[in-house]
Amino acid sequence: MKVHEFEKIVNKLGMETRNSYDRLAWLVHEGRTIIRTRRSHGKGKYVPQDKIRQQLKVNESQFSGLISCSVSKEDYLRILNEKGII
Amino acid sequence: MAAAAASYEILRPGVESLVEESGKELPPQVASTPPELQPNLRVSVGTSFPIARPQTLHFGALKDPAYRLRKAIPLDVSSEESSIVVTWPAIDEFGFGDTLGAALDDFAHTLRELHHRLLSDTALGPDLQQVKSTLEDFIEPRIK
Repeated sequence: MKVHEFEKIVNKLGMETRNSYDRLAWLVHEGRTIIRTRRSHGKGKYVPQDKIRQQLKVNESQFSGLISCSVSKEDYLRILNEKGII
Repeated sequence: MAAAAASYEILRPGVESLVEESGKELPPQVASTPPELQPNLRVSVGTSFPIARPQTLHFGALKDPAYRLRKAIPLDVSSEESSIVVTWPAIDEFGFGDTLGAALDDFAHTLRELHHRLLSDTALGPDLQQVKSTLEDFIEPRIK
């Protein structure tokens, strides 16, 4: 997974971000923080795709859709709702 | 092979008693038996050698001045794209680095930040509420 793909997901979902030791990202929905993930700083850094996918609570197909354009924020919220995370 | 064996002799170390007579020749040195060569050695190259890195370990170094671990955290250890990754499956948290030590340091950093954020955030979804509850089970404030 590339850094720009991580940033694409963060931007698509409108996640709050904070640059600390890592780049932290939080999804806040209706006033509640529901999902968190992170990546290391630096473009050349390894980004553990499978771990980030697990933190986002999606399967591989849904994760690919988040990186591409086939899964929108609304789709993602629906997935989380079905899993009882919202 | 026979020619090569005859081209040298191995001398036996030791002490020989001599009768003190002037002009007597020293006793001849005695050649010892040449050592037998080992039979053909077999060298195996493969992927089935045991790996020194453990597949699981217990993490106990939070390195937080205000908080400490109440009990060790069970971590899975794996290798991905030349990085070492440690994972706490119970809360889907991980750390990674070029070495196991670096991965554990990364995990400690991540855990401290996650813990501080969840402590200060009162509005959490059910999943993060569960994560917070798990963290509170493992992490406690240090006694001042």
